[in-house]
Parts: sequence; C-alpha cells; structure tokens
Amino acid sequence: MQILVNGLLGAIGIVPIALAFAVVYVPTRVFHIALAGIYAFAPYTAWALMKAGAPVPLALAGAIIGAVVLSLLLEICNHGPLEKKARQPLAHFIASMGAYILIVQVIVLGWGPDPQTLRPAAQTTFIWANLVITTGQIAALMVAVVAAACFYGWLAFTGSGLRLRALASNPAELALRGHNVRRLRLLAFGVSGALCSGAALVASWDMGFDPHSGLSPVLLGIVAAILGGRQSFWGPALGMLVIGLARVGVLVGVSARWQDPAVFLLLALGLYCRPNGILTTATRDGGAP
Amino acid sequence: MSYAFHLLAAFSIAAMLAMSINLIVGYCGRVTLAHASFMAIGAYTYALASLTLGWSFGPATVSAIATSAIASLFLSLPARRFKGDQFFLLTLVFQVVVFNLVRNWGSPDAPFGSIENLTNGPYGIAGVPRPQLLGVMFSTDWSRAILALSVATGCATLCWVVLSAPLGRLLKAARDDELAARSLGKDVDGARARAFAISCGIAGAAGAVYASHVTYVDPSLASLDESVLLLCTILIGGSGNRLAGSLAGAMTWLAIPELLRLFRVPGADASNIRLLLFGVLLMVIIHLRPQGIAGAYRIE
Repeated sequence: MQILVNGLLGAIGIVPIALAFAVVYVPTRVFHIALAGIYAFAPYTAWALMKAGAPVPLALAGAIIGAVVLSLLLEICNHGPLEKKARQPLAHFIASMGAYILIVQVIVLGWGPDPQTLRPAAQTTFIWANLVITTGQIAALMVAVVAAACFYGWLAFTGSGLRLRALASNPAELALRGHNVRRLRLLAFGVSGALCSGAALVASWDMGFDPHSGLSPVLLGIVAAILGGRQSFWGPALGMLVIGLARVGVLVGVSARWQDPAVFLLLALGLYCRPNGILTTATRDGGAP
Repeated sequence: MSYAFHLLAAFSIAAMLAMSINLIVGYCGRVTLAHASFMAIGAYTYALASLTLGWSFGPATVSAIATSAIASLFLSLPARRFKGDQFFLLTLVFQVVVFNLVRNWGSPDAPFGSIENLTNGPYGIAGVPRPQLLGVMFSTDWSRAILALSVATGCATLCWVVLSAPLGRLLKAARDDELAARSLGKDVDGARARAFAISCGIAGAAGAVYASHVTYVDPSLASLDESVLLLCTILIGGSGNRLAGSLAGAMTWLAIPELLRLFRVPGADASNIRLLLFGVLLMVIIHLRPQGIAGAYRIE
C-alpha cells in the first residue's frame, strides 16, 4: 500500500509538468524540450535568492517569476522568429534542444554542477493508517491539484482560455478574426513557465536538485501529454494517471529499475495503437476536433 | 605526439558517427535520438566477443556491426509509418530501453558474460583487449590511431559509394517527396531499411573501435546526452551530402575544445563551455543556416 501511495503521489507531482508541456505543444506545435532547462533554472534561482538573504516565500515567488521570464524569452528570441519564417515543428524542436543545452550549461557555469537542496532541515512525516507521508509529498499533491484546477478553470471559464483552445483548433482562422496570435503564444509560454517552475520547486524542496535534474521529469511529462492526447488539453492528466499506475505496477511486480523502460514502452504501444493519444478522436479531415 | 594520435583516433570515431547519423537525418529525413545506443550496442558486442569468446579485432568488429545493423530494424520498421515528432519519440523509447538494458543487465553474484550478468551493470566492462589483426598487435597510440583512421576511411568509402548509387538518389527523392517516389514504383521502405542498417552498422563499427581504443565501456555510452550530442554534431556540420557535412560536424566537435585550450580555459570549465557553444551554435544554425555549416539538406 505504501508503494502504491508513493508511486501515485510521485506521478501526480509530474502533472503540472505535463500540463506545462501541453499548454505550449497543443496550440503551437512547439516540442518544448527546453522546459527541462526551465525546470532546472527555477530551484537555482530560489536557492540563490535564499542565499542572498531573501525570505523563503519571496525566493520562491522570485523563482517562479524568473522561470516565466525565461520561458517568455524563449518564445520571443527562439520560437517566435522561427514561426515568422513558417518553420516546421522539427526546426522548433531542434531550436528548443539548443536552448535546453544552453540553459543547463549556463547553470553549471554559474552555480556549479553539484547537487543542492532548498530544504533547510529534515522534513516532517505523518503516519496515517500505517502509511508514512512526508510534507514534501503533501506539498507536491497540493501544488498539482491547485495547478490543475487553476489551469482547467482558466481554460474553461475565461476568454483567454477560450482563445487558447481556439488557437489549438484553428490558428489561421483565429488570426483572420483579428485576434493577436502572438500575444496568445506568449501567454501559453508564460503559463508553461509558471506551471513547470511550481512543480520544480516542490520536487527540489523534497529531493534536492542539480543542473541535469530537469530532463527526466520533463520527459515523463512529455510521455504523459503525448499518451493522453497530443491534441487535447485534458490528455496530460489522463496520461499521467496511466503512467502512474504503470509505474506502480512495475514497481510492485518487477523492480524499480525497469520503471522508465516500462513507461517508454507504454508510449511506443500508445503510438502504435493510438498515434494521436487516448483522448483524440478522428474526424473526417483526419485531424482533431 | 601521443596526444596528436589520440586526437586522430577521436576524430576518426566522431567522423564515423557523424557519417552514420547523416544517413538517417540527411537522407531519410528522420531525426533520431537513439544513435548513441547503436554505438553502445557495437561497443558492448565487441567487448563481450573479445573478452568472453576470445575473438580478435576482425571477427569481433564484424559481430558488432552485424548486431547494430540487426537492431536497426527496431527503428527502420516503424519509420514506414511514423515521421516527425512521432518518429523521434519512438527513437527516444529505443534509447531509454537500450540504456536501461545496458545499465541493469548485471548481477554481482553471477560471473561476467553469463546470461544473468551480460553487461556487468552500471560498473561497465573493463580490460577490453587492445586490437589484434592478422597476428599484429596494435599496442601503441599511433598504430591504434592508424587503425581507427583506416576503419573510418572504409566507412567513408562505403557512404560515398552507397550515396552515389541509385540508393542514395532514391533516399533523397523519398525524403523530399515520398508519395512521388512511391508512385514511380520505388521500394521506399526497403531503401530506408537498408540505409538504417548501413547507418547503424557504421555506428556499431565506431563503438567497436572506441571499445578497443579506450579498453573500457560503460552505460554512459548509451545515455540520452550522448545521443543528443551526436545529433547536434550532424545538425551543426550539416547533413544531406555525402561527406562534407559529416566531416565538418566531427571537426567542429573536436575543434572547440582545442580552441578553448588555446585560450587557456580551465579544463573543468572547458567541457561545459563546449556544450554551451554547441547549444548556441544549434540555435544560430537553425535560425540562420538550416542546412548546417557544410550540409545540403535544409531542416525547415
């Protein structure tokens, strides 16, 4: 039971990252691998601010703002100009990969390659019905739930959320109707930076961080987003649930060593059976609704 | 002088890898994140064949090439159906599976080379024998550098011949307009499978040369970082022509650290600055020169 709870809480902690990937990928088709760099950047910013004497809440807020600014810069300097030249998604992916390498190496050169931690002391644990739950796990659960609720609420009930869904559905028509597509893209990148940095800060508080710590959770988030539905904003949540259950199953039935290959084999299976993900339905023109 | 020979061997291995990934990126039009795993398959096959079976350089290298070429079917068969980000997600799956197989297929209780402990897990395989060919032992730095250069020259000749032949033209045609190539009755899938097999075979040969040169292989050879760097090498050098782009990529890969040494950058920072420059180059190239330094295929 403890393994099941740990596995599911670990998977839920990845949900904001999957949403951060999807909020950029679904409307813009940018395969945002540089998100792994933003994931690494946020805790280092918080750590630097805390070392400079900033109180913890201020340091965390500063880190989130820093991550949002970095994410916006990626759109303004990297993807926006490529979009103007009407480059294909592959070019965006390669540019994003270059940005990821750049961000990680700047972190290594600026703050060193050693693992760090944000947590000043050992964390408190709670025992409930023979289950041991740490404050870090509770924080990860709360951040994931709040982030998902805010994200889906924004998407469903606000004008900007509606326009973002429209951008995902038909960007050309949205532009023809006079909406500012460039501003919507910036909004998507900003939201992505905020979601990703929130998840990164909680995970770093719980387990520490290093410059390369972003790639693994971001890849899991990407797998969840693709598996759940590459054209759906709801896909990441479903994908993460599937991945969480698969990881727990492998952990209980086989070994923790084979969790990652199992998740990626699940992705391969998903790509073969439903290339556009679980939550995508085919339409007459072959695209998504 | 020994350092110069070491550089020559490193250049030969880098050039082989760049030539091999050029076939997939530049001629098949597919971006792969799994190329390091084919090099690792070749390196581990060589190490196992030479240590457990006692094979010399020739047969062990042939077995490394064959294993990598057969493993290429895991990518070439899906390449019929998938392209773009779906294909590189599949290559990512292959990469993660191979890395974990190499890292986890070990047991401290079982003897090395047995079915329970095939790769020696995270510890890797040490003591890979120096190359020996037709009774000649390649024990000096210069002899191993010449051997690596010879194998690289062989691979370059193979690439030149294959890409100058109808197969190369068919691959280019299918890359630019697959439907048109198919409508002319061309066997696009077969051509692509052959290109993948040749490409991964060359990566396997590079792995074998690397294992015999360094005498040690470990799971980091198959890491995603290595695959990303290999992809960067060909994207920066340029793809879609027979040799120029690959050689430019390999040269860039080796030239950056040497330039940093010239500017007396401390060794600890040099590798990070090299990667940083690779990131910057990748972004600059995709914005300003999508065909790379000396390539012909524009990644639009």
